[in-house]
Amino acid sequence: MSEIWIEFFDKLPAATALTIILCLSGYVAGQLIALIVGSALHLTKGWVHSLIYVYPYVFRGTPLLIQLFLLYYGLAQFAWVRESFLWPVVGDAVGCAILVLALNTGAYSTELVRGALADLPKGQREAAAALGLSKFRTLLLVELSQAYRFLIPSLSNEIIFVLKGSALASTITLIELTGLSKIFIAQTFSPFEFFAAAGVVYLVIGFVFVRLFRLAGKVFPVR
Amino acid sequence: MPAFTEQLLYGAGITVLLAICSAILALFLSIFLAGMSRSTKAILRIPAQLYIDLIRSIPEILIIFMIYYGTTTLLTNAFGEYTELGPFFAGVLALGLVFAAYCGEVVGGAVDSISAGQSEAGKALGLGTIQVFFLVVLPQVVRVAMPGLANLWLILIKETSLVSVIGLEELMRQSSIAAGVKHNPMLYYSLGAAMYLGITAVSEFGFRRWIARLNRYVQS
Repeated sequence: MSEIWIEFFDKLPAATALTIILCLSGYVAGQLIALIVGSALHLTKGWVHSLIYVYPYVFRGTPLLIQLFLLYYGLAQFAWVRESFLWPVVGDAVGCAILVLALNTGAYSTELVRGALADLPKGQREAAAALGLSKFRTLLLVELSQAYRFLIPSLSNEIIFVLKGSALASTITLIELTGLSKIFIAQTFSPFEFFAAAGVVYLVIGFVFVRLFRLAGKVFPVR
Repeated sequence: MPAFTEQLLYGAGITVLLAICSAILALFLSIFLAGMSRSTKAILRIPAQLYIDLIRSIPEILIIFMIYYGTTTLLTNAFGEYTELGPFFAGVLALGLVFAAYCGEVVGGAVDSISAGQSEAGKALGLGTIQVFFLVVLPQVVRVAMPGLANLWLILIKETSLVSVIGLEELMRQSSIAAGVKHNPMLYYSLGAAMYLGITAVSEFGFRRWIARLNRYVQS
């Protein structure tokens, strides 16, 4: 094996770890956003509903790359942002990438959560009301647990999108899998080998995620 | 109007053109993929399935890089001097290859949903195989596949922004240039984002009307 490959494999674990960190943190934070915003959309009506809906609409209608650049380069422009408590997150490339991935997948998942809640049979809500549960307690105790069982396959797709989205972090100087292979291609001018190597790692990570979700689907089946 | 508005609009034009060309390539390739992945012959089915699974879990940006640098290396070796596809055609090829996998699933699913009785009835009326396909099956496939394809188009519009990383001066790249020159990333990335939002909003409206038209004879 040539020296350059030894160097590549030397740096691969750190790059893989960064990809996994970006993906998992972005995904978990995004799901929290989706749970809160999706539920809020379910419980509200009228102009409050429309106002909340601006968030998923904007984040689903624009590319992830422009969202990343807007937050990473755009927010640094303002002194009050640089002086605020948010700066450790948005000023740092890793923090900013995670934030953008979370907001992006959060917007798509919000729609999924809202849709799953809306699709539940009306009888569930009526039965809960007959038992004297408030709207909020109905959501918490009756609707969410059922909706999430339906959502497991869609949420599995969503983590693959986040995994693929994490590759864009290479455009804001992060050396994750895609960034690492780009560096080695610039050195060797042999594009196929290093991109293929990165591609294989993505495949393996994606395969593991999909398997884990399939397991979750078996543990929490739709009833 | 802020400076660079004209360049951004020009970039938006390139974005739409890139998306249209990629969509045409993707649709064309997807017909073969859909046919192959439903074939009874393993030699056709397995490569198609493998391709679809591969494309789905590898980041698009990696595929764009691979196509751009890969074709440059191949063409340069083939011609003995530096030759490249150029970012536009490399982008069309990469996005076309990626979206063919997704379109294949939508188109294939739509073909599956048309009952065999339809083409049998067509044959009973004395239509030939080609006539049955174009007059009986295809119009119904279009109707069933359109919501899925509309969804893919909206994703495609957003994915075209990735071609900016290989230097194509579409909307994303023009926004970056303007942001850099004017030292105002907030303004120019917001403008760029608003234009993407405009393109997706207009597409969504257009597709909704088209789908309603396609379904005008369907009784619910």
